Amino acid sequence: MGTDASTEGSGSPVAPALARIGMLLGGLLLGLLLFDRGLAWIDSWRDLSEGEQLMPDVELAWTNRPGFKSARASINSIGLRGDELPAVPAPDEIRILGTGPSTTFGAGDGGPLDDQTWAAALERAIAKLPATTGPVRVLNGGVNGYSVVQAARRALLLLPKVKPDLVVVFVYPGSQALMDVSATRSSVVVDGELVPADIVHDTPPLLLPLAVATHKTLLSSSALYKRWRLQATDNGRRPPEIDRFVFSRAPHRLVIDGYLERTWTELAALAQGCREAGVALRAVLVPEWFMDADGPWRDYLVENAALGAPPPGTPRTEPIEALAEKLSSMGIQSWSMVEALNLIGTDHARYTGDGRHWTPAGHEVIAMAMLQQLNRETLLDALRQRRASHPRTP
Amino acid sequence: MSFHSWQYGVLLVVTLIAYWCLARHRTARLWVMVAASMFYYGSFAPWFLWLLLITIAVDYCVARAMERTEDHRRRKLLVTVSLVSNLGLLAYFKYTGWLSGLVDPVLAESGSPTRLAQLAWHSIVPAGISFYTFDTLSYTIDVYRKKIPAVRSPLELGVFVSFFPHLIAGPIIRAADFLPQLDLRPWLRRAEFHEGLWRFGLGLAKKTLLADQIGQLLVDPVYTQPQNYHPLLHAAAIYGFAFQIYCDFSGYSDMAIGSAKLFGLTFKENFDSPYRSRSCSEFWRRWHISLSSWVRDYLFISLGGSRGSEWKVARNLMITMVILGLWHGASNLWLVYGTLQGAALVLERWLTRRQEAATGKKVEKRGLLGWFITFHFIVVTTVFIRATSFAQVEGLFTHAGPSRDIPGIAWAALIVAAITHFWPDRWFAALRERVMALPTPVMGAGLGLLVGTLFVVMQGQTGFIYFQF
Repeated sequence: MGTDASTEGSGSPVAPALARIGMLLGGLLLGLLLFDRGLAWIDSWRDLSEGEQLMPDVELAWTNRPGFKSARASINSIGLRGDELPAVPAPDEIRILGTGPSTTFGAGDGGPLDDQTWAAALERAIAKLPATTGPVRVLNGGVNGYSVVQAARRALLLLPKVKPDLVVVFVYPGSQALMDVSATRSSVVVDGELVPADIVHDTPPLLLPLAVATHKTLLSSSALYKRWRLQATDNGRRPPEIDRFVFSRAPHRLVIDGYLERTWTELAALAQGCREAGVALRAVLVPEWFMDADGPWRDYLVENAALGAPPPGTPRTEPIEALAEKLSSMGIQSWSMVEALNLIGTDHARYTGDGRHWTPAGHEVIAMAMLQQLNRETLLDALRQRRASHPRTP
Repeated sequence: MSFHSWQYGVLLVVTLIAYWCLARHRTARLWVMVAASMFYYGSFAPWFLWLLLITIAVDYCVARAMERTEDHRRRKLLVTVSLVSNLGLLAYFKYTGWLSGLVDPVLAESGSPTRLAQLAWHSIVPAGISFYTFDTLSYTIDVYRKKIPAVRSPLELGVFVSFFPHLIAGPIIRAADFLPQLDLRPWLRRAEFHEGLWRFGLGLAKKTLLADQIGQLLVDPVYTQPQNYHPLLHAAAIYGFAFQIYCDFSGYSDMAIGSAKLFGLTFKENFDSPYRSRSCSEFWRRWHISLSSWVRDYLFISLGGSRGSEWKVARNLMITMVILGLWHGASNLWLVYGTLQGAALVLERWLTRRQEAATGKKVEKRGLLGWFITFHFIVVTTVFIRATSFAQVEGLFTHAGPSRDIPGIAWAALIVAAITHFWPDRWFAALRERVMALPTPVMGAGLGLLVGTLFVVMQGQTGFIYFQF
């Protein structure tokens, strides 16, 4: 290992360089601390999400804020869109609970009012059915930005509160829905305390007590850390090369399997929970917004071939068919919304406000498609029979 | 691992400490640089490393062999090996998909069972391959032209090609500029250290406070859903993208130059306020300077440059600019972009010749009209860079809606980006001097405040645009 002959001055370059780096790091830390204290001061008099629709949630990463009200939407005390549930329900009341992302909630430019969402439209349509006897209440449990993992877990958490007769989970074949990156802090109990699962999974067991202690300390003392842990969305963490993934029969990369596994696990847990509670479960399979016509779908495949999209030439209906097959293998029945989305694709101006979210007319189309499925299965009759033998109590 | 991620910050600090601890030992510090660079590159995908190592090994052997012989034919054969292997890898990984889209339908039409797509082993383009291919090609060509000697150790070539601040998105460096710096004993002077911190912070701010805000809040929504937005917002998004890509890429270059400075190394400047240009040829002397000077030195001049008839020069310009376009991306949109730039240069040259013939004077500098035309031509042609399909280009000019709903922060970022681009150099120099004169801990604290601000402002991390090239 040779030493250079030429020198700057007569001393060693090591000490001055390390001193400078040390001063930089010290200053950097000081700057971050100053910023953190400033942020803590701001956060102390400003509720981060005051007046906003979403709030942090330890189980779901974020959820609807109970009691929220805006010009277009209201959220009841258990986080569902619309009115409060009656304190004393009719004994024969049938409840259908839907969970899913912003489309389920009814968001977007020109999005629907509370009584214009798919849930309200479906409730009205069922009430008009000639054979309707008891009341049917359709509950909108959609939350903006949710993945299927979150939607399934939310449905599971709502089972004891809502006591539904039928749960419908909106499932989309695209990456945002199927590949959960929400840092959904499925908390794990460590020594009697809830700890975010990502910390438990990412830390070697030996260092776990230290990691948990650091987490708790930072959570109580650092505004930056608190914001980071409560960050509602985490879009940047999905690897960009698979960001345009759409589920299909084509083989996909191993890394995608990891994400999908989590989705299937969560859906299986919901299916299990529903079985145990005697609740029917259906997955509502909704094509992504770029799958409602052939042209956009073709463009999507070509443009995103390197980013995880199925190979060019994949039929437009394949993702939904493949999802139905997968869920069927898990014992979950599904309802395809391909026909409904085909209709929506014929007139975007009428059915979608911002290209992705449905207008009231779009919600109506989805509700009608769901009603068709209910009728095809004569599911309402089955639910009524079951409810008759288990009358609802307050 | 992006330059604006905490992982990069940790890598940079750890590598700097190791590098300066071993600063007295040339070989050891070079190993530190190579190890950090391999770790950095491997973080994108470990298999990328194989390609990089193959490139370094081939070019090391080729250059050494060239130096050992004076036989012109043998030297030519050797440089051809380097060209074929480097450009072959680049073509295979970057252009097979695009070419198969063009060729396979023709093969299918003719009844041939062969498809170019069958050749594609992997659909991911290795990060930075366009950049390091040009780095290493400049090395073997310069050795062939006897402008520089071949390096003695593969380690030196490894540092030159893989040094992480420039590996993924440039600036494209030349062996003649970089390799001699490795022989100097490093010394972290206060001025250089502060220059490095200033450039790094400046780049970070450009990328996250300006480029990302303009991109996420204005450009992306309008380009993806043009039918929802008012025509005025279409225009704003087109101007917005021009400033977004400038702040994104020049921000990246600033961070690369700043990172290198912290090691006591100097990269050449990559941007010089390009939107102030008063002609297209001036624009290409101010935009992505390391690439445009590369294609000038190794492609345009090799084709004959400005010698010969006007037709020949026009041909050379067109070929150079089309290749420059396709270097960025394997798509028909980039083909159109390169063609438009080439046509503009040819037209500009023809008009200049005519003007010079008429006045009998050499055209030294164009006026404000020249700036106006150049600026708007450059801005409008960036549509082909941002759009993902010709349908999107068409949609941007033919579809519109009523919405004018763009957050104020996007407008603020766009205005700041535009003003700071055009404000006088002396203002910028004065600001730089003031910041550079601050004590090191104060600069560190400033960087800490900036990092904290970015954390709060950032809407989810977005990659650098030039990473995809």
